[in-house]
Amino acid sequence: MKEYIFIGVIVLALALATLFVEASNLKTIQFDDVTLEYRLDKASRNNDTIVVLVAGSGATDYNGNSVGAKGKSDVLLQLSKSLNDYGYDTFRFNKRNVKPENIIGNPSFDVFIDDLENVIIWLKEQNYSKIYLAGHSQGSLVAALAAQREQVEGVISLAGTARPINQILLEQLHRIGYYDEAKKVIDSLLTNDLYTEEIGIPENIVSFSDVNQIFMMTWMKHNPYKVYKSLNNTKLLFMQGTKDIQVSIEELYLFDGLGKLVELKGSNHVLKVISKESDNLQSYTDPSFLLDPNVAKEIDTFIRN
Amino acid sequence: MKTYLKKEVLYGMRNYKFLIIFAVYIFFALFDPLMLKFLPIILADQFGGMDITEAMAIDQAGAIQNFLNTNYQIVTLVIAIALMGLVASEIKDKEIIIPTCLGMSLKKWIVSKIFVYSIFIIASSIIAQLICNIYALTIFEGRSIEISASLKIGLLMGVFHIFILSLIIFFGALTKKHGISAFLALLAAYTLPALTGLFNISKYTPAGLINEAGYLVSYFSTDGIISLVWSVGAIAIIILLSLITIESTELV
Repeated sequence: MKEYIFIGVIVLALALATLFVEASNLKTIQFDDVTLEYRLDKASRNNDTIVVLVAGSGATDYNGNSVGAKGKSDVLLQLSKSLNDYGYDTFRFNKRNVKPENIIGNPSFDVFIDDLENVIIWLKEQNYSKIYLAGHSQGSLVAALAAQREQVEGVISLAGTARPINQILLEQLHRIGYYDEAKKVIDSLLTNDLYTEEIGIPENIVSFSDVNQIFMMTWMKHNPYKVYKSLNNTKLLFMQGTKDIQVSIEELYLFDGLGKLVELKGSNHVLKVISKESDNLQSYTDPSFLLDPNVAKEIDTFIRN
Repeated sequence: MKTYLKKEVLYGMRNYKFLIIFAVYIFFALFDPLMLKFLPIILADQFGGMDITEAMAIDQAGAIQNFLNTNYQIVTLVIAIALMGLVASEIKDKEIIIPTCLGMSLKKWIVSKIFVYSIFIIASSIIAQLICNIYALTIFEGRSIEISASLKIGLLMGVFHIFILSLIIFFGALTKKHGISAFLALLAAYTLPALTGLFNISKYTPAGLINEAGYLVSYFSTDGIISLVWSVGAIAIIILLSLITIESTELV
């Protein structure tokens, strides 16, 4: 009888432990139209400096992983741990489109800026006086736009583009033989018209569904270079990997004159050091490829100076 | 309790159980990296001199991943075979009748077995992972896996093997047949990842330990922590069930 009671107690303890682990992992903040799931990792008590990590494109979670994709890179998780080791608190959050119901009614790029702006205001209320935004890929533009609205100490662009997304997308599709098809759609979107004809680009390469076209329209109206240039009272750092196959290293040099430029030798788009080309895409889905240690080191130097 | 533990240690040494399990762990920790090192040469002969190093992970991480697979498939099998008689044979061969008549506690007997072999398995698993990591580092170039990651992998695989041990003890107490106890434990070990994956509940079972170990990183994911907690809980429940079963077992 005693053993059966023990078994009941163990099952109960397991259920409670699971709830505790899951609850201590992600917390929530309620903003006007959305509940954001976040994780705040403290490096020490009473820290006044925090780095907010902003995820890249797609339905990307607080660890920097695409929801629903096979495998994970853990890029933001690894960056957060490295920054914690340097003594900085970090804030990461699930993009609102991790839950599709949060975006369907309003497929706009600008909601990501709203969310980050709300996060900055909330962190200021938590007595963080030095807030740095580190945006990865698409998150670089989101970070800069949010910094336009709400003053922060510094913005760090990690593998972010300097030119608008329509130019980047056109180049990417040109490389794989879809220039003419892409040009028609993008030209239409630039004039704020949805492209309704047959597109001719497979869905698995890029989806030009109506929802995505509306989203892209709102995304391509922003010019990252101009946005960063407008951040006069904000420290700026730009980092870019030399083995990035999504955003070329030339994008980094376009930011010349706006802030410190750092070339990450041997790193790819997810900021992992790779030694051979076949590892490039594999590192997107394999966390054992570790984050380039220079990323956190350069951020530390940037913040201290 | 000290006497029970001493008895199990002596029993394990006398029957070469410790030696067999430890030797298998270490053998594959050294053999897998070596095999991977020679794999391009072996396959190049078969594929007309084609270089396969671009297509495969021929590096330290690949070697550790290979050892992880071997650890799950072969070391699990060896542990099940080596330890299948731990409870079943002693009951079947009536080795515990006289000690029980002289006052031996069957509960302490079971607990001491779990305790001694669990410590041994965890230690062997961690040592083997460290050896694999260091050896692979010396023979491969390119990206490397942190030592702390190997410590974590060793711990997780050790807990997985303790889960197998607890099943062997439970099925041994239940069936009193060593072959059947090993078969059922292996059946659970080999079908668990596929079954739990099907229903997306791996993280609540020891199958999640293998997934977590496969990431080859030093930190734990949330799912990994949950797997560890549930695995330890599952082991505790199986031990309690073993104690209930052994209490009602007729020894004569």
